[in-house]
Amino acid sequence: MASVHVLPEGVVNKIAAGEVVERPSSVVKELVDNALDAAASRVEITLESAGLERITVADDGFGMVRDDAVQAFERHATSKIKAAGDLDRIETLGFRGEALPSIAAVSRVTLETAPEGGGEATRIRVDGGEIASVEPIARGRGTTVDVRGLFFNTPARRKFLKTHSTEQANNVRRMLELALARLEVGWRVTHGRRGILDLPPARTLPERLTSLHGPAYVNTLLPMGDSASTVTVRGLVQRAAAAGAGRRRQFVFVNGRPVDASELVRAALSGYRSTLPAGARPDLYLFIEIDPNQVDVNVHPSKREVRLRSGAQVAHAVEEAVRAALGAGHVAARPVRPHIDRVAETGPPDPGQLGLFLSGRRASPRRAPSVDPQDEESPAADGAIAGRITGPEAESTDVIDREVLPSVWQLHNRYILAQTTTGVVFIDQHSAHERILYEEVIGDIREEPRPGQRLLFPTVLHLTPEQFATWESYRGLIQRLGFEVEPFGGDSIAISAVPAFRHAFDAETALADLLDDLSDPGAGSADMNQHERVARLFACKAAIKAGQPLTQTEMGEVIDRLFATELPYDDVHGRPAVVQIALEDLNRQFGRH
Amino acid sequence: MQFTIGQAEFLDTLSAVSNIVPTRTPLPIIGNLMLVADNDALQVSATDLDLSVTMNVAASVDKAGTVTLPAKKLTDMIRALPASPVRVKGKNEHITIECESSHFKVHGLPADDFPSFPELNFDAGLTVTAGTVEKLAAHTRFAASTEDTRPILNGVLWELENEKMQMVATNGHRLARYILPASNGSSGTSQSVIVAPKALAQVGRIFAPDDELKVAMDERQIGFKGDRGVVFSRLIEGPYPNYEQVIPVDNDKLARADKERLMAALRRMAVMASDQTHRVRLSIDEDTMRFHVSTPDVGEASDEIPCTYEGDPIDIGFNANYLLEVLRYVDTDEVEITFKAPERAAILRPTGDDQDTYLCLVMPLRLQE
Repeated sequence: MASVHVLPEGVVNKIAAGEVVERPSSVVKELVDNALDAAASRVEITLESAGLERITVADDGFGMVRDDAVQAFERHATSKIKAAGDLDRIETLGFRGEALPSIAAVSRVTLETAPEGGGEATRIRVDGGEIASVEPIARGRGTTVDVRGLFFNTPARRKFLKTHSTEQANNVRRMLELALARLEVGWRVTHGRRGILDLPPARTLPERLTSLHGPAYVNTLLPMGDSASTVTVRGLVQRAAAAGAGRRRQFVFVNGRPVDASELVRAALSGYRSTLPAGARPDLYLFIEIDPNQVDVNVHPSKREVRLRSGAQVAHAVEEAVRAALGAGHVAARPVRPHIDRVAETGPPDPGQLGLFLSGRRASPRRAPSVDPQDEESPAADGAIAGRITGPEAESTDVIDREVLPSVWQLHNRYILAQTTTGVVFIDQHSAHERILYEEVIGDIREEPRPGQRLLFPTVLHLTPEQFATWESYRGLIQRLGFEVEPFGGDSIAISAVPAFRHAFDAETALADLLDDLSDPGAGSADMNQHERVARLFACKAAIKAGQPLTQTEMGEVIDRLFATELPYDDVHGRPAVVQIALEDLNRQFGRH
Repeated sequence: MQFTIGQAEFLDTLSAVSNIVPTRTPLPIIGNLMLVADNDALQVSATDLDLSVTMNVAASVDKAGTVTLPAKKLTDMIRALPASPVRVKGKNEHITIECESSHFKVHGLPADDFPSFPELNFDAGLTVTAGTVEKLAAHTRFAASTEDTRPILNGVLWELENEKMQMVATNGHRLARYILPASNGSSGTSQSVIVAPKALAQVGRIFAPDDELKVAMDERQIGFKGDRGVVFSRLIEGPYPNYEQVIPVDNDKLARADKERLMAALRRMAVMASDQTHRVRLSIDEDTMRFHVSTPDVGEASDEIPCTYEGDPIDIGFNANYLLEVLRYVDTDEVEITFKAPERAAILRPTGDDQDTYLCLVMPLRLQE
């Protein structure tokens, strides 16, 4: 008969560990938080096998005396807050007093610490949550925590970990965030024998970013500084013209704490208004200072989320600050360019002419507003539609043309409307194209690799360490897509050929985005194999986007090819790609039956 | 204001100018043309804020004045009129247009709201004929990119040196360069600017080939001025990629073939080529250029044409469309193509005296073995 009883401490700690210590990067983060809260001026981190074998964090902070060090392994033992009221005014990174016992519960920890002022130093060994030994040692000021065999006693947790490269990418992201948050601290990170970061203390953010990514990169950023009454937004934002490769160096810090705050990133992006090319993601470094009692960081044990008491106001301050920064810097003028693809300028008949009672040129959502002066939408050329076939620009048309479907409309640059024998269909252009590309790309991967179009100007992509690690592990598959990519020193790669597709897409950005998503453990379900995962993500990146105007020929091609796929009615995310309305239903709506 | 002008001249002028007026604009004034009547001349101006055009036409002006009128309405109105003198008169924004028995009243917008045109010093500019600009532009602008991703490649690079001028355009997969001697005189210093293809097209539209133009520029704008009018365009900000570096100098395999036969063969291959990659394979040895396409689930095709060839045999893949597009601008009956290796750029040129004026690069498609 089961009876209710209080769980033993060890079990409580394992449960807490499940929340706080999800993966190696959580350990890294918790230990570094402690080092920083101990006023360290230098933090050294050593990782082996993405932290699964070993994580060592050494600092030169103020250390602990023996009794405090032993107590630190007890749950909710902390020096950082004392009473509940302190939770409203948290200014340290840690405060829950859970980290060390949680980590110790699922690994073998050795902690060495020497208190400030030269007291006796202590070494404590903890094995799976049990204190194995406490002994005096001799060592210099500071604390070193060495964590080995993470999750050795929780095999279930270990199973949920991703590949080493993914876990390492997470580690790097966490460490980068902290290195950006704490400029005055010197950082050194090694993984196996490879040095990953070696950052001297910096006075300014640009100085730190120069050590990380070089001066050319820093020149693409604009300083931002804005003080609304209660919110201060500082940091750096990237010039719109430099954004593009979708590197996702987007960091948000609230009162010095790195957080996931997609709504603030969105606010920053809306500060760019329309200056961003489609799909471009500028790098952002947002530092938000706000009265601590306006922020609740005690939302989740991992503290990745914060709750802002006046979220809308903060978002507004961010948007305004970004806009001001871009306005002060010189935003590159975007040249006007024809929106229309090369495809078949001569080919399709004007659908405005097809239906006798659909006259009125404006009423046919036939194609995008064209900026090309030669285009028939300009007033002067009105009525001279036939003339454009022989007009000067007609020379530059694609030679290969295809049969044109009658009566296809593009709605809101997003959906394709077509008549069928029994009614009408609405096709989501992005979903449809994604499905088409998915099947093609699966073919490229499993059968014949796609030819790569060689580039006149090879593109160098500066990747994040996470992206670089991902590229290395997916290299073979990426080549089968048609990319020719070589390492280009550090975390950079050079692209000398891109997949040949008929439609125009930004292959470099698609590759960077693909690497981003592949390194994101959240993307894709576990039962999907590598081929499907790559094909699905790449198809999404390379497909025609919602909002992109299409010509009649392009729409016809999407329809033909969509219905030649195996699963035309569902997109690769499981949403419908096609919505049908039966003629009968229309008849009923109009009272004709 | 009050002036009289022939319907045909008026319509020609309006048509040449109003094609840059954007159809949809948040700024209503941009949808208007500005008419300035003074000194027996009418000036008609339009702008889309990036590109601005003014065209001059003779008119009998009774009373000087300025007005802006909706571009499409005005053009449609004048097109619908008989070929007779058109009288335009009015005060401020209320304009009357009369022709024979027809009578229109139109409402304009205040001329003060019309965007002002850039000020450039044309006295210091270089002199060139409109025909030269058009020839350079016509041979190159097709190669410019139309994608949003690298705005710089949407432009045509115009380089002006002491003895020559050249235009270059590329989308990163193929490149065209046309060089002409700068016989029309230049300012003595070398300069280079990146111009939107549509600005160059507008120059060709406004001016006749023999028209002498003054070309002036600063960091942001370029202007073309002739007796018939003036075209201003915003420049695209550089730097342009270092294209000279990618033009191969060591292509050691040289083929010459009849351009029409080559194009015909490529068109036949294109039928069977993959509609995604348009890939066609060229195999060239001694005296034959062979073509082959093979597309899974579609079929195969092959063909051959005679050629002269120097060098080791080569197998190389291309997007058939890129080749066809470039060949269209090679003005000689015979075309010369040089190669180095299957992954390196091929160079296409005309043969004969014009050999050095025109050059097109086409990057290959990788052949999978």
